[in-house]
Amino acid sequence: MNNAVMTLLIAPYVGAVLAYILGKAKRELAFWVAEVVGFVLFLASAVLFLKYSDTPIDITYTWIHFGNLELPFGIYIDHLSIVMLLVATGLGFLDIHFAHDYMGEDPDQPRYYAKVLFFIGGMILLVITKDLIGAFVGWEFMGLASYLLISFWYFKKSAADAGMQAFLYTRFGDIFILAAIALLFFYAGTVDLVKLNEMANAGELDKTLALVAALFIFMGAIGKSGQFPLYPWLMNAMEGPTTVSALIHGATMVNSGIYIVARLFDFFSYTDALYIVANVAALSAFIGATSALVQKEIKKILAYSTMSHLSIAFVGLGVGSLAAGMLHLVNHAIFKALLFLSAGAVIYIAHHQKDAWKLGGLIKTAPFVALFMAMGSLSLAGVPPFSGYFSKEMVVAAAWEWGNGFTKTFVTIAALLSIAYITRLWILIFLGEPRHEEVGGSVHKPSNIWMRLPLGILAFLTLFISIWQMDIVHYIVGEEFIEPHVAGLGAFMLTCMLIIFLIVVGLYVKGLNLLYKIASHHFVQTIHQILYNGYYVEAMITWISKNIIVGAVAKAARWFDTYVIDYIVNKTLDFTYMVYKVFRAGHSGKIGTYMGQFVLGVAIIVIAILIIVKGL
Amino acid sequence: MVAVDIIFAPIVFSALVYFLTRGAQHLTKYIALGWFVVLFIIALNWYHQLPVDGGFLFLGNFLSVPQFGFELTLQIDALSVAMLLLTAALLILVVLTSWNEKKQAAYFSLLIMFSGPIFGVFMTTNVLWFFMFWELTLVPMLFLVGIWGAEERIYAAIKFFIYTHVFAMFMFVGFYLLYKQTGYWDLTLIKETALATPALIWWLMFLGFAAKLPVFPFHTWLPDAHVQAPSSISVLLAGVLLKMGAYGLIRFTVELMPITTLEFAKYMLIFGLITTFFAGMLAIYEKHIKKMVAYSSISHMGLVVVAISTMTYDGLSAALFEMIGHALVISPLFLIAGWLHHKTHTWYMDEMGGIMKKAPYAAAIFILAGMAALGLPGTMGFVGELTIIVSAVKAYGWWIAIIALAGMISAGYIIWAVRRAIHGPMSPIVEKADFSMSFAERLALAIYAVLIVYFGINPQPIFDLANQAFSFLGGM
Amino acid sequence: MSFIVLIAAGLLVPIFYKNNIVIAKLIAVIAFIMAAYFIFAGQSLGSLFPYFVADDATRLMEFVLLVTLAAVSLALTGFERPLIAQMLFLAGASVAFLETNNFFIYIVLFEVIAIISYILVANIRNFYNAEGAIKAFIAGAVASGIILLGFALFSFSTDSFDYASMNIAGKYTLIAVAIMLAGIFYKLTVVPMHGWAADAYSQVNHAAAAILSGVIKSVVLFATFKAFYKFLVAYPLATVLIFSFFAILTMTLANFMALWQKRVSKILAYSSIAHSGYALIPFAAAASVYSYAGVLYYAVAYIFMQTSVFLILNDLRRELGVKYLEDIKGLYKKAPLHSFIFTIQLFSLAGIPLLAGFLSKAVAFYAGVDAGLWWVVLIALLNSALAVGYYVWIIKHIYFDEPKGNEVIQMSTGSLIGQLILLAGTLYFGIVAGDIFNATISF
Repeated sequence: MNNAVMTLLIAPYVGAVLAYILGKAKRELAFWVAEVVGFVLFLASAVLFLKYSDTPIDITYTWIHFGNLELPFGIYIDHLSIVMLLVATGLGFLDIHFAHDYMGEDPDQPRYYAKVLFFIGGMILLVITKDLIGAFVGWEFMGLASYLLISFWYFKKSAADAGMQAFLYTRFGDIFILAAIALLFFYAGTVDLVKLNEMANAGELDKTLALVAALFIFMGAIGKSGQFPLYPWLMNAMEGPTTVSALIHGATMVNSGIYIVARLFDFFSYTDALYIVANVAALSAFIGATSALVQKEIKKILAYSTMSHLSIAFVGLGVGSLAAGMLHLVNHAIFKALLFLSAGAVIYIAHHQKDAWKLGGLIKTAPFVALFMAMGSLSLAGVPPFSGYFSKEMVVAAAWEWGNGFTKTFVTIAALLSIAYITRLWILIFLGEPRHEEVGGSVHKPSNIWMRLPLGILAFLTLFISIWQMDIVHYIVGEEFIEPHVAGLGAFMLTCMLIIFLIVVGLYVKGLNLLYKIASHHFVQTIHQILYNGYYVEAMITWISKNIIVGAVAKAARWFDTYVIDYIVNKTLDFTYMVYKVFRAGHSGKIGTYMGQFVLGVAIIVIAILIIVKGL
Repeated sequence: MVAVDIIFAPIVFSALVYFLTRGAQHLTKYIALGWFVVLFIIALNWYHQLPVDGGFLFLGNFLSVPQFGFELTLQIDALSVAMLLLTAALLILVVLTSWNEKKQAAYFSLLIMFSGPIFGVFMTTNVLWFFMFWELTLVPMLFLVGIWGAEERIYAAIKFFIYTHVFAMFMFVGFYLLYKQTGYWDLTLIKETALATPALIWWLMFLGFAAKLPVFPFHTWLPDAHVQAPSSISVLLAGVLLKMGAYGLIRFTVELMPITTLEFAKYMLIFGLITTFFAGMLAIYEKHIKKMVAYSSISHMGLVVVAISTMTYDGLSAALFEMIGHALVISPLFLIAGWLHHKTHTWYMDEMGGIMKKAPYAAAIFILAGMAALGLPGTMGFVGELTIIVSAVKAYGWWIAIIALAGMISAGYIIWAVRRAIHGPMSPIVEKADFSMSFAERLALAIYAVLIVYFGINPQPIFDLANQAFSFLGGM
Repeated sequence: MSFIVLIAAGLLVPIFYKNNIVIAKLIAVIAFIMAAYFIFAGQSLGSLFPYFVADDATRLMEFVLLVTLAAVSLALTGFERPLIAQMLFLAGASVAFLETNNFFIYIVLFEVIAIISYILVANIRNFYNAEGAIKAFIAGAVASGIILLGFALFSFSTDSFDYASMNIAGKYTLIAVAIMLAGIFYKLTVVPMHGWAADAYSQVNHAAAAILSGVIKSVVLFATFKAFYKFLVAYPLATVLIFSFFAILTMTLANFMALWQKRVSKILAYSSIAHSGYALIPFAAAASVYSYAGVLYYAVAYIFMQTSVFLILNDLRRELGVKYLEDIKGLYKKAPLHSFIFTIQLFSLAGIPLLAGFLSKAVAFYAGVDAGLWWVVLIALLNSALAVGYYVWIIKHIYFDEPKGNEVIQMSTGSLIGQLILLAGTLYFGIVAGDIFNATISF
């Protein structure tokens, strides 16, 4: 068992190095190293899952001993970790597998696979660590990896910008975690995640401190999981390769925020921070769902849907149902990976055309992809018997049962809207006639092993995992689990969804002209603009950082440095020249002047002596 | 006798080496390399000889002047050894990175000469000798910056020389008063004696160290000197000379007059915080790649000051780690910044862009070191930042957690720099440039990278030294 | 004995001027060495005449003086041959001047040295030399007059001229001392009595300037401290105020003046004036036990470095026609050895450690701190930091700029040996402070 843990800890990094080095020698090898390592990681997780006895694996170790303080590093693997491990390594492996074709033409494959393995390593570290410090390490590893992967095509300006944005946005959240570590370390005396929960349950923590720390940690989660207001990076992250998007959105990064809140669930509930979590998440869910309605790019639609669904999972946690939140996290990871990989396949097929409005009619050329994507879409929309239905229902029910009005309303709207945007997306891609000449012509044929197989596995999973929904819940939270139940909610939701579905189908399949007419209205245009730009949050943050931080504060600092401090320093030279000029006046070179000065000096000495020694 | 020889031999023989190897310029660097390796081995040997209880390892008294209480007392503790090892290691790496420098005989002779006083600074406990070595380090630096520097080298060299010299004078008066009031030049003896005007002495000395560190508002010499110096010399300036300031601050304020320091720690803290954030903001605004790195260097030294100001066992350990970490992290950044200028003939990041494509190795190291500078886990930068913030919160309370913001600011300038210079579409300048790199340079950069990551994952060896150095603070 | 040897050699040397300068130099060097040996052996003028007592410090000073003069005579060329005899006489007079313990003899020898210095500068070759010599002469004459006036007053009010039993009380005594001090300040080039020096040092032959500004100043500094010590200690307040005031005034003015000069010799002249300012600090701090050591150390260090820089400038002027800073651009290529030694000596003047200039300042200024004048010392230290500005500026021209022409000059053997002796002195007293303290322990 410890072997499995060590493998999980070390293999990704060794694999990353190996993939890079071997890949440099022979490009093909990079993929194979990654594939093998990815599979080994999944195997290790599976071994942990199968061999898991009732007690969690708990290893503690002092990482740094400095002064009177000791910074710990520990491993803690319980059910929650194992679920996250399976998600991360399983989806990660499929993602690597899928990349064989998708990234097949890229000359920089060694770099790609090294980064991907590093990325998965970060996620693994996050979910198996015992301390906030270890979590922060994994957390930041993912930040780095996502930065490097999003700007994988660094020579594209947009990709480089997106990478920078992703790093800075998530980093902004991360520094709060760093602050939280320091606060907890000193005021709570521990950064041990398990112990914090225990202390919270025992009521040993100071409420204010715990609230502040919890909110700081949640700030980190906001950054990583793309909640309001730090979500814009999630959309721009689509500049990276689609497999990377799948990795970020399905297997790793975005789940980390939810995981950390879930891991510290008792701590969070003790401090009432969950209340804030629920509200922020509900707002984010609404923003994501509405913005997804009007996006053009396939991946942006999926990105906003990720945001929305992560928020739904957060709402689940926020209203107090750990089970609902985690269940949705797992289900979402699977169907979102499926959707992204399908989107990747579509993009691969369509010669890297990402604009949904320029695609169309692809069902003829890629029926399997269409089918798999449809399954993913249905799961995302929350249609039974796909897994998405169960978890979403549970979250909404929990929100109705325990949440406040704001949460309730917004999360329901977000949940209902998912069918609208995903149906729209599917229709735009697969139905109708090709709207772009490239797509109409020759297409890449997706291969069976490398593309259809992972999609098929995921599609299969998203359908059949429904069977074990309750088992997953029990596995994570134990047997004594209260299922939220709101009478008639399921029926209400399904009815609403059906209505929305029909409207969307009507509009996009038959009534495009009507749609254009509506869209051209001035008021609708305005709304469209707001939604399309993600409520201008990105514009606002950019404005603040550009004009306030760089343009005002940094510029003022620069001004002060150049024209006050350094000015004074450099002006000392002019000052010496001024003094010199004054002094020079006395140096005429005439002996008479000198004699005058001489006499002056004599006078000074004599008078001074007489004054000082007066009375003698 | 070895102890005093390794200080004076390089000073005396550097001139000889210069005149002997003027005819065979390529030989000098091997002599320099060999000498620095010897220094490293000697330092390592001392490291193993250190007394376990954290005291001083006595190396001898020389040139005694009993009437003036003035003698070259050489004794080292863990703090000194840490600095000596760092210095020797950096010197070795500096030889590697300046393998193809012009006028090699003079260049490496000056480096050899530099190794004497810099070792002296860290080895002597005699205040006057400390000051003498302190001042003497400026001389080779003046020439190294002034002769091998970039366009504005003369302005930078002279500004650096005079600026630090002026502020050293305040420190010197402080030292005078120390002797006047205690009758000893030796630190270990002064420590046991009461001072009449500790506040005055403290501030005079602080001024000297502050300008060296440098602390806002005494920092303006640094961007000029570091930018104009050849990159390898920037490494020495940032890696060793700035550390002298921090070392002095620890030796002369914290160790020598702890009670007074405790009283003024709050001012030190304020200076440190302002430095960190002010320099960080300057770095964000900066378009000049090496200046950006220089401001980042100042910003990190601000953190060191914050850590020192805590006056606690753990705070100082963290400070020492950050000092070493900063030296190893900022060096590759300086080297690559200078190298890029050398290859592209531009200083401005906007005019670079797409370096990654043409020089992936340098770009990768730059990103790695940049990540370390912004405190990414797995690198030395993170350990330094984490331990500093933890110890600062312990000493000052919750509000000091705002220094976490420094991590955001540094992320801002590093990532933006990477975006402009390394990533992005390739600029015409980069298109034309030839990015070949010598093996020695590659090797040195690789060593930096390995050290950054190794001590980032396993920092305990350095902390062991630090704990040993500051164990006297254990009770505080 | 040493006195006699020196005077005899001084009389002997001119005979060989015409025929063989080498023999003249040899005789002079041998005379210096012999004199140094006698001093080393413990013989002083006191064994021949009364009123002369040589303590350890005096002997050390004499020794250094003789070594320096030997070095100078080695470095001279035929053109400066009259200097050799003058130096021998100067050495003889200085030995007596340093050893005396009688105020009367002090004044007499002061005048003797003044006269020798007029003769030194009288080696006139051009208009500039003449101007400098005339200025030195007229100012010197006025100063001599003032000193004699003061001394006349003093002789009325004292019962004895012996240093130990001089009468130091009384209004007239004080006025007399004040007036004499003013005259001596002239020789020490204290502002505002410095005007002549700035011109004379830079305009007369540089070898003469080396002796004037380096040797004579140091000798006067040391002897004066001994002569006036009793007064300095008796009136602490007046001492502190007057000497601090003049010290600060001198160094500040001289440093600011030096910063913006374009002639190298003028920079060195002002630097010499500034050093007088620093040297006054141990005077101000006469009450401190370190004042004697401070003065001695300062004189010893100063003699080496100042003499050396002017001698090198002399070489450069002769070989390369160096006058202005422009002319020494890229000097390291034209004259590597000159540049190297010049730089070290300049660093010594600037107060860079491991060179005599630093330790002497450290000890002299410590006397000030010891007497409680730390603020004066702070100003002095800041001044010396300011002074670094013009020393580095010279070095900048030598090393950082590119040369205009491409002629290369060698250092003559005599010059090299002389310079190495001076360099050895600068280095030795920069590292080893023990000798100075051992010499002054008895005081």
